[in-house]
Amino acid sequence: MSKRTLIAAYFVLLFALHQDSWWRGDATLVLGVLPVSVAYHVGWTLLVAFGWWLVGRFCWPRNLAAEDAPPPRPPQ
Amino acid sequence: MIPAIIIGVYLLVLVGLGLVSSRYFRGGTADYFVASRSLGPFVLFMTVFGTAMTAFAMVGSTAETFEYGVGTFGKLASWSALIHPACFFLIGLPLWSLGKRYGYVTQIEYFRDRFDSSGLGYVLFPILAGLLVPYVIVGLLGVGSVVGGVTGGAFPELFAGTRGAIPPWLTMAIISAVVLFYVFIGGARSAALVNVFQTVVFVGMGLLAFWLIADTLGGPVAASAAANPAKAVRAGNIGEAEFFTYWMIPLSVGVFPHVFQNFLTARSASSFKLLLVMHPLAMILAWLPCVLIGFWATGALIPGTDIPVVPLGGNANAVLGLMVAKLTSPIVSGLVAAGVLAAISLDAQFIAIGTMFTRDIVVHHFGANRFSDRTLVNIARGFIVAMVLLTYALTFLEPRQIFALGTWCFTGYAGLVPLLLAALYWKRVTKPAAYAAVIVTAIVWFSLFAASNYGADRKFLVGGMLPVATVFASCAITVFVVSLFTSPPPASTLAKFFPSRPSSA
Repeated sequence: MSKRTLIAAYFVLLFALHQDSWWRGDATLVLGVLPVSVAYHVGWTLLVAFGWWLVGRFCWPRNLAAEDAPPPRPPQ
Repeated sequence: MIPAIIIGVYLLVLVGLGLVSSRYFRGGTADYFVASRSLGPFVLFMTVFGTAMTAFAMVGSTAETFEYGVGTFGKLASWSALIHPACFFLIGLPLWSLGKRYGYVTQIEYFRDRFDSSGLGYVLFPILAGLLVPYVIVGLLGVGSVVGGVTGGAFPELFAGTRGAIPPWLTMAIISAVVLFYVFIGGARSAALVNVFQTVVFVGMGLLAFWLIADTLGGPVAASAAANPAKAVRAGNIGEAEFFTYWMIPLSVGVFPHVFQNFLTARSASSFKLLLVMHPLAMILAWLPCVLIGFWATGALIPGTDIPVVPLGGNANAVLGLMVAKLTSPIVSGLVAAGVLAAISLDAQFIAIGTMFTRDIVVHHFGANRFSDRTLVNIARGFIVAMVLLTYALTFLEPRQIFALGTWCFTGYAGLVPLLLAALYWKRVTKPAAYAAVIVTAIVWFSLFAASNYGADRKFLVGGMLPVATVFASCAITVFVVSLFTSPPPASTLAKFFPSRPSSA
C-alpha cells in the first residue's frame, strides 16, 4: 500500500472517529477540568494536525514542488 | 472609560500598520489584489487563519457552549480543524497553482475558463459577492455590540440614549473608516500585515481572559466542578445527526472569495505546509479557552456571594462580556473587547468584493487593455468605498434577520463546494452541469432559507440534519447527473486543466 493511500485511510478513520457517540452522555471531567468529550476532541484535533504534517512530508504534489523550485541558471 | 481608551489605542495601531505597509505597496493591481503573490508561510498562515475566524470564535463559542453545552467544541472547532485544511489542500493549493500559471485573481476567472463560459461569471458574481455582504454586516453589527457592551456608562452626558455607551452607529462608522483607510492605501498587503497583528491579539486575549477568569473562580478545577454537568455532555443539547452534519459548515471556507484571494498571495506551494499543520493547533488555542469560559459560566458565582455571574435567562451573546467584566478588571475588559474586534476582520471581504467587481465585471466587459493598471486599482478602491457605504447603511435594518442571515451565508458557500471539487478533479463535468448546479443550489438554498422563516428559526433542521446537507447534496447530484447527460468538455479545455503529470512525491 502506498504512503498516499495510508494517509488517506488515516484521515477517513479520523473522520469516522469524530462521532464519539459513546461519550455523548458522560459528564466525567478529565484532570478535573475538561469534559471527557472535549478532551477527546482536543486529542483528535492534535491527530489531525499530525495527519497534515504527514501530508506535507510524504504526499505533497510533485508538480507543485517542481513549480517552487528556482528556474535553472542559464549556462555561463 | 478605560475599555474605550484601549479600543482607541487598538484602532490607532491598525492605522499605523496600514501606514507602514503602504510604504511597501508597489502600486499595481497585482500588489493591490494579491500582494504580488509574495507572502511567506508564516504570514500566509496568520492571514488565512485570521480571515477564516470571525467574532463567533470568541463571543459565539462562549454563548453556544453556555446554551447548548461543550459539544460546541466538537461540532465547530474540531470539525473545522480537519475540514479547513482539507479545503486548503484540495481546493486552495490547486487553485493557487492554476492562478499562478494562468493569472487568475478571482474564482470567477477560473470558472469562466474551466467551463468556457463568459455567462457563468455573470450568474456566479451576484451569488458570490451577494453572500459576502451580509457576512460583512454581521461583522459590523458584532463590533457595534461589543464596543457598546464594554463602554456602558463611560460617556453618560455624550451618549445619554445608550446609557453612556458608545452607540453602535458610531462604532460601526469608525471601524468602517479605519478598515477602509488601510485597505484603500495598501490593499492585500496592508490587510495581511493587519491580519497578523489581529490574529495575535484575538488568540492572546482569549487566553488572557481564560487565565484570569480561572484564577478568580479558584482555578480551572474549581471552575469546572461548579459548572452545570448537563452542559458537559451532548445528550439533551444536540442530536447526533445534527452534530455529524456540522462537518459541512466549514466547507464554506473552500468557496469564500476572500479566502480564495488569500490563497493567491502565497509565494510558493510549500507555504501551504505550515498553514495545514498550524491551523488545527490554532483552532485549539483560539476555541478551547472560550468554550471553557462558556462552560464555567453555567455555574459561576460572583466571588463571596450567591449571585450568578450570568443572570438566569440572560442573553447568551453577553456571556463572555459578563464573565470578563464581573470576574476581571476594566483593563482586561478593554483588552478582550479589542480581541473580539481583532477577530472581526472585514478587510479581506472588502478587497475581495472590489477585486471581483474590477476583474469579473469591468475588465471582463471592457477588455484588459481598456484601462491602465493604476486606473484599475482606483476602480477597485471606488467600488470598495461604495460597498463600505452600502453595508454601513444596511446595518440600520432590523438586526435579528441580518444575524440569522450570517449563518445562512456559510450554508450557501458550502453548497457550491461539489461544483468546485468537480471542476478541479473531474474531467467529465460539463458547462450545462455548472449552470444547473449554480441555479439548483441557489433555489434549494433560498427555499430552505424561506422555510426557516428567513433565518428566524435558528434550530431549523431537515430530517434532523443541518440545511447545508440538503443544499450540498442537491449541488452534488445536479453536477453528477447533468454532466452524464450532456456533451463532455472539449479536448483543449481538458489539456489545459488536466495536463498529464506525476501526481505526488
